[in-house]
Amino acid sequence: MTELPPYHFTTSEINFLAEQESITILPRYTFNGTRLIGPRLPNLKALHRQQVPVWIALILKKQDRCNVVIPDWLSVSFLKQRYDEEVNQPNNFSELPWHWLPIAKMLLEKCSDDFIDATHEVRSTLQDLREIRQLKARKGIKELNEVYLQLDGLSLMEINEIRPFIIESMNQLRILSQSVKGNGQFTGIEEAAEKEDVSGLLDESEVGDYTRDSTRDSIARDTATTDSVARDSIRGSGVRSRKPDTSYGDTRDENDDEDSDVEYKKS
Amino acid sequence: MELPMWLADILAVCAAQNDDGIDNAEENAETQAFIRLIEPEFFSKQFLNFIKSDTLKVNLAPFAYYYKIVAKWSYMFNDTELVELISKMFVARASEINGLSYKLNDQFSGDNQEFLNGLENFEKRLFKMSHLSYKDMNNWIAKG
Repeated sequence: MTELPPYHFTTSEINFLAEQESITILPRYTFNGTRLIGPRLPNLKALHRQQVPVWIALILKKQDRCNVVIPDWLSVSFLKQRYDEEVNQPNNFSELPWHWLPIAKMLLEKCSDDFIDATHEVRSTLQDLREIRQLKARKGIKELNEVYLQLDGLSLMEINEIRPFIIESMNQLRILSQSVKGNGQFTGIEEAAEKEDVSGLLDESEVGDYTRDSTRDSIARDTATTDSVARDSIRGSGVRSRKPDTSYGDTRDENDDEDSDVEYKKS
Repeated sequence: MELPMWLADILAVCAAQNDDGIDNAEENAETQAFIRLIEPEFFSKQFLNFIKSDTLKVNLAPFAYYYKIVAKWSYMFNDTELVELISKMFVARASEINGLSYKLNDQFSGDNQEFLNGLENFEKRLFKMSHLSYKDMNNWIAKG
């Protein structure tokens, strides 16, 4: 049975990550802050705005100890504006928070009474926004190539959704195109791929080891053959060994806030 | 004669090395290569034309590892044209696969069924993975 590859997040994992984002709350009571394992819970003063992680806000909300200040971007007018942007720019994604989907979902579920706009309107606008963005992302798949993909403005949840598909496809395209360009050393990865049943993304360390192995291999083999061939394939292996590192490295960094695009650049 | 791919690969390479050798013109003349590879059916002009005309109708199921074979073949013959064509075909098919894996109930009707049955092994895996991912997402949105 096929399972999702290890680089894929499940939706609940992303939801968990989103809960670490901070949000403004309006406490109803005053109580002293305390030290938690992760973040510090700041001193809360009644009716003084305070930034806390989303998960704390939701717990306090559940106990009726605070009101959540709904972020600016979660208003109907803001979302409508973004929607219009999406319509007007067919090739770009509009700027939205990195975790807009899970945060919007959580807030809508747990503190719908704090919303200023009608929640059903917010919901439907969010739905529209998501659909148009998804449509765009899937349209982009028709232009897939083996070296480069830019997904500016897509949030983690949206990237994650198409990630297995994109990574596997681009890997396949890379194998195909390198079979002629790389002049030789692709076979290494090919064989590994056969063993692993194209495991697609190897761990960084594995990739490292692996490239080293195959380089050694190729050198050993080449000493037996003529000089020119040896030079060729060493150059070939150089080209290839740099490639997996960069591309996989980039995808790994995705959960970094500033680096919100997946990039596959040819080095 | 039919040989397994790995054997044909080695024999063809050996022969190539003989050609590269410096002073063995005689040997060259008599044994140009251990073997000569005959184009398999799925790389024939006819088949490639078929691919060009309608990428989605091509049935790759009989050739379970088509893309791997293409990679090996083009490695041996440095066939850029073939790779370009196959890459194009793959992109077209992949985007169709993606589209189908997104829809939850439309997959098994008419043409779609036919297309899915004609998938190569790698494409099948791609379809399943993509489908799982979309399903996870849809479940998450519906939940709550």
